[in-house]
Amino acid sequence: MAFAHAKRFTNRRKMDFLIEIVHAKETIGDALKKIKSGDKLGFTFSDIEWDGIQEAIVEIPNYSFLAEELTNQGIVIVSVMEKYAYPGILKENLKKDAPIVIYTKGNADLLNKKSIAIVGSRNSSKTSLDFTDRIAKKGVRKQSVIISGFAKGVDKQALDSALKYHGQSIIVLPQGIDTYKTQTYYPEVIKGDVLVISTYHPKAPWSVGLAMDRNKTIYGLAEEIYVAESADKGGTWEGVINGLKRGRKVFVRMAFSNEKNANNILINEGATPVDFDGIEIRQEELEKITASEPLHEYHSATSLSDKEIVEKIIVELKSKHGKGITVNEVIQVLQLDEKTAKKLNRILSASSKLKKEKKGRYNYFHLSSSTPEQSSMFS
Amino acid sequence: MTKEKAEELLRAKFGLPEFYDEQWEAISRLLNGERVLMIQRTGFGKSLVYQFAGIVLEGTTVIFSPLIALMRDQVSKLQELNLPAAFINSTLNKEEKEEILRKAENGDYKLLYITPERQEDEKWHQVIRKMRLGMVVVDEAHCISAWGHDFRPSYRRIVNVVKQLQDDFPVLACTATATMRVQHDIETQFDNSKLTVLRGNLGRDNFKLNVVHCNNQEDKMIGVLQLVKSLKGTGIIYCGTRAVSETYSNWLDFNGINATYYNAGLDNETRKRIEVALINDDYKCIVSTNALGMGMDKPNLRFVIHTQIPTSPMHYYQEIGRAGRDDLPTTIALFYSPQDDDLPLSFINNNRPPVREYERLIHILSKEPLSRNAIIREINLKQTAVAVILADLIDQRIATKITRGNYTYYELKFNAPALNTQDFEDLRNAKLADYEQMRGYLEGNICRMNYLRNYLGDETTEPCSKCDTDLKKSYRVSASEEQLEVIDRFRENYFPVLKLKRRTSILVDGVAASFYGVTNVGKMIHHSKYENGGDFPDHLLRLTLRAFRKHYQAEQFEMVLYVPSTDSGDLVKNFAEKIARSLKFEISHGLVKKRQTEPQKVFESVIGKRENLKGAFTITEEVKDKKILLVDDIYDSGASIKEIADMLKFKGAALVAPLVIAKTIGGK
Repeated sequence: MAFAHAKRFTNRRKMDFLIEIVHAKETIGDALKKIKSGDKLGFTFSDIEWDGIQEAIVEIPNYSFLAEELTNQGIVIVSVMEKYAYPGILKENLKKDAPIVIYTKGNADLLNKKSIAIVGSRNSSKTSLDFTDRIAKKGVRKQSVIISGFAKGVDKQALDSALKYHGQSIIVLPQGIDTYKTQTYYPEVIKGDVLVISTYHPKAPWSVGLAMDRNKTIYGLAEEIYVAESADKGGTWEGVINGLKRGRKVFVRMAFSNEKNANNILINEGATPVDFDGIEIRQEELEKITASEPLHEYHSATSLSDKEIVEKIIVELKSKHGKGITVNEVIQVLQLDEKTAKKLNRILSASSKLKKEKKGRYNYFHLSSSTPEQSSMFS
Repeated sequence: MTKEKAEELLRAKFGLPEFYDEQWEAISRLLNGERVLMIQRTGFGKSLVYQFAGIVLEGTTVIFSPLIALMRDQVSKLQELNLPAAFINSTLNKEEKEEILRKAENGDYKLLYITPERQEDEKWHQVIRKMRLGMVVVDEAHCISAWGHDFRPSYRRIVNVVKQLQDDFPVLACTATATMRVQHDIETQFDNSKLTVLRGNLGRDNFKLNVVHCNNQEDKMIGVLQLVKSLKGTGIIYCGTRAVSETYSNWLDFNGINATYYNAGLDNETRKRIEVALINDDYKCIVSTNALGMGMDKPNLRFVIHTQIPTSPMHYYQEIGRAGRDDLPTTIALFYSPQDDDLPLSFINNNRPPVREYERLIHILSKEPLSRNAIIREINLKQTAVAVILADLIDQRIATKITRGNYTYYELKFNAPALNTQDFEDLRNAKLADYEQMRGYLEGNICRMNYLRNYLGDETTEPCSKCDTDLKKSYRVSASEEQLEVIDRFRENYFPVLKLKRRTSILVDGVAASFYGVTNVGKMIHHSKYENGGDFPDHLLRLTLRAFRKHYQAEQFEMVLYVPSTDSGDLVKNFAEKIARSLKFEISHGLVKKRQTEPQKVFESVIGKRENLKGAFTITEEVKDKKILLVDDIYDSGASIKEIADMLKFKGAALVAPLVIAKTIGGK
């Protein structure tokens, strides 16, 4: 536990270290004892990592008290070093981003069962909630555990539907397990139908950052991921984009033309469209549908040439005073639907009037320095 | 650190010359990061081991101890030596506690004493997570074991903390009372492979052990009185119940011996005052239930007398162990009469509520997490019964107790095992066997000290040559007619006090004419109440008036009220009228019920009783600034008297003085 929460040490580096330990056939306890006496065990620690791990060792007695406090509440700590209890699927999907420890309350066996995740916005439409209910029902029938994120909207619907159909469910908390009040699903937890898990420090309060971050765990745990509804930003959106980046197949409910959401944009981004029953819509069917009815409200009547797109973007960028624009924003601004993000990316990158800059997870397009606006900086 | 170096430090910091070999062995192991179980007799100097090691080790040493008096004594001694130490327990107020926690977090203390219950406190948890820890000490480690004489569920959590600690972190468990069975249990719980046991000689060479045989309670009263009169110094008399402790204290007082009683029924303040008085030798003796004396740092208690045979030799050894820590001659006596087996056997046999109550509680908890009080309300059992069930459920890992801020509640655990009643049965049989061992002590076939030591696992045959067996003496008391008359006079003039005075209440301590069940008063009340025997007889009236005069003396009251009855008609009303007439106070019939209530006896718990009566009474007459005498027949939990007093306070009354015919005997 002390190691899992050691500061100045990224998850990936911790995993590197653990892999090293496993290869050396050491236990983590013995390894830490050696480190305490200055033995680096052949691992190349950076100075700050070395400080971080020494600090963690000093804190072990303190964590003993915390561990006892958690154990007393019936919270079971599952470590990545455990062969059977720790879910293999999480390691497969997240590799070195897999959490070092999982705090669990309830039936921890659910971690190793077949599972599907259903995710979506907090303020989803009735349609999305109905979809969630259907998918949960289907999942339960296939004896899959339903994974959700314990937020309002789709998450709560997924959980309640799973229980309604006498299924089982995993709640992935966006906060430390000790800050969560168990009252609500208490009977289900003690019966073993609901498992509550968290991968954060047990005392960590809820935060937007953690709410975003735990999607990683939801995606990592699930064999199949269904998206009921997503806006064009926020947790659900980011979750899907990250999932796609990791090469996961993400099922997104295809939206009807009158819906105001970004489901179909996600499909354009590479998510797999599914119908209201969660059945995958094949490419040829998709084309049929898009030919007969508009996909979503961002649809534009006229199609633009590559050149027109670039010109419109330059106008847009001038009004943004130096702030860049992402591909997704371009899609929104120009109300494009026939161009995929990939295609757009290619068009914009090819233009000499624009330059691409990577900032965080996104590519931003700026006006390139040859354009007059840039020189005006010196005027 | 070498022993020479350590003893240099010992002289500088503690002003003591040197360590015993056994002390040093324990210390050096702890400094080496080992785990030690130390079983040594009272007075050996166990605390010096952890105090010294704690001072040397880096960080703060946390000492779990259930003994509030011991913490206080040790901390003040450490502070006198300029060693940074503090304690946290229920006697501190909020500000004091927060101040100490803040300093602890800051690393200001080398030694921090806390009660095991602290492990349930969230604030403590916040602090312990940030403290730099040096060592963990588990004092009175026998409390870990259900086979011990004083098993405490809160110790379970400490065991679990120790299990989580890395094995090169020093841990010391110590006790003065552990049989081999308890020792093995502690070893197993702490993971024996890592624990070194240091067991010392448990003999107390300065003890003169005696057994005094009596025919009945009267013989015992006479025998105890004579013995106390003959003994020098101060001591403790242990009794089986609160009522008996009160009676004996009054009996000695009646015979000119400066005594007072002590039991768990007294408030914190009074208990503290008596503890201090005992240390200062203000009383010849304190008459107590086993609530007194554990861990009290009083080196010169000269005698310990038991009026009631304890449930096991372990209990007995522990209770007498509090005396004679200065190694000077100390008299120990156990009075026994054949009727005395009833109480320990009933403790052992009725220790646990029936299994169906366990099942009911589990069922209640399967729906939602509940606080203890909510459970008591729902299940309608006595607090003590609910406490026993909950402790067992936690012990069997069926339920768990969780504290969040100020709210403590109980939950069932996922995957909880089925209730194991075989454990209860085994434990009961073990306790019955222990009691047989205690009975064996009475026989006096072998040296009494050896009998106790052998029971605890000391292998010895060397007689102490101080006990009655070794000295070939046999004590027996038979009260004379004259002595019995003294007892009669005492009984007619002894009136139990109802301790009701609180800062927030207008109640004063009341008085009862007798204990219900000790004399024939109970029978008379029962005859009138339940056998249509008519008004309470005049004998009760005379006795009650005598109690009034002794307790309240010439106090004047402006109004006599009586508790309106649910099930005994006008008995109390008529009785109160007679009282008022005799004392020439004004009777009022104005105290009435606003609503129907259930008879109090339906409710098993005080919480239930209180809620049954909440807001049930009102007064139809003006009581502003009046001094009121409140009459009732039987005093049990005091719930109705307290409820009425609260209502009268609200209406502006100045004072409420309770007067009842009989007080029930109540618990331990």
